[in-house]
Amino acid sequence: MSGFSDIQIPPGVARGVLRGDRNAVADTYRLLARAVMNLASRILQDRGLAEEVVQDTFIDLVEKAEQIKNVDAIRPWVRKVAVNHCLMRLRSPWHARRSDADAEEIFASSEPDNSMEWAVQLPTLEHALGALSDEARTVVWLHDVEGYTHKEIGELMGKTASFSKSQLARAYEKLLKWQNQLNIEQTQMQSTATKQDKEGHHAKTTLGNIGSPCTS
Amino acid sequence: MQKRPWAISDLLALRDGQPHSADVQADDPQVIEQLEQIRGLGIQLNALPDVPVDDEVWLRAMPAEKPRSVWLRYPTATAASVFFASVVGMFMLFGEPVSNIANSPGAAQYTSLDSMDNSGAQLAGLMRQSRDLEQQLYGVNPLAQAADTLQPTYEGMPEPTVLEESLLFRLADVDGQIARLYDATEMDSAQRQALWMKRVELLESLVAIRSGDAARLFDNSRSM
Repeated sequence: MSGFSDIQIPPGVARGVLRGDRNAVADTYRLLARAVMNLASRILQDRGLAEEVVQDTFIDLVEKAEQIKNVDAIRPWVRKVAVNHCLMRLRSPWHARRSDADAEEIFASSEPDNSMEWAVQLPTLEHALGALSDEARTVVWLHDVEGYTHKEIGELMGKTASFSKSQLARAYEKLLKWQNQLNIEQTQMQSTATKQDKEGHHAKTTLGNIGSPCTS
Repeated sequence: MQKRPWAISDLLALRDGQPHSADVQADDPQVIEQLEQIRGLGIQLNALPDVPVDDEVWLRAMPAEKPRSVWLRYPTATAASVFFASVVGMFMLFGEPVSNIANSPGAAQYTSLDSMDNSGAQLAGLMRQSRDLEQQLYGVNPLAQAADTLQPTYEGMPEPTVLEESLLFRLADVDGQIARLYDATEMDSAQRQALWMKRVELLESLVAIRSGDAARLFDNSRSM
């Protein structure tokens, strides 16, 4: 996956961005857009909103390039702007209303009865990530993928480093539970399928024996 | 899940090299197992596939410019052209006539520094040549001639080739240098002339490419 840390902006392009050169901004878009999209998609869990973030981030780059102090600061600047755009969207009343209804519904449904097959509803880590609360998901992504510290995350989210730590722990608690449960359910499903196969085979054999001509 | 004496936050702290509870023993098999699982999830998160991003996003972020926006795309060049107009005007009013200035039309011969002295008239000639080339560049824009037959890009222009991108980038760089030179208190006329000559050369190359003159294109890119 393309992450910000893997990308180097060539010095000539970076200098062009600081000068406000549109071609240089276009080149920077080509280099960084995917990383911005990955970050925004994973945090927001909504392609349309993520595209908006990509758009707004690069409009900011065009309009506010003079705020960037040096060529090395472009990449972190773009990432920070993208994160802020994501957080703004998460804070919007419209998004909060929508996500409150969905967040952790599946995880919550697993609490009373572990025998329920709930984990298979989240067949991949991508799904499980999406089922975390907005805050937990954002912290997981910023800390474990983007490499932000808890202090930085706290500052970005207007909270404390402790808040970030507790959200990360909550998220991992759920993700580990999901992974363990998924393993159990998949094993159960496999053994059920094998059992059914065997029964089917046995039934066929029995029917075959019944249908065979009597030799006595 | 099995009851354990530690919290996930302790395991995460252990993973990240942060201070953690004394209950967590790094050599405890259960800790090792759970830590492996946590690390595995972290690796999986980092290995999630790319989410494709549509160029449409860029189209919206950078609204297409009008074909005539060659001037707007290079504000320093526009400023320089305005400056050029004032210089030419002053020469016409007070200086030597500019009508004799060698000024080949269109994608003309390369201007040689050796063939010139440092007079203001020659500088004005370069500026004029630069302006004419920019007009020509716009004139041969295929989009302007057959707007319906080409796929427009975000700039309202046909997709530039890699070489065109590079030339445009260098042109913008020269424009920036020219602008800085005019901002400087002491103007170095030789430097100014050299920059305007470089600008003309780059524009000639762009005109040659846009005109589809492959031979010129090759020569220009080699000579620059």
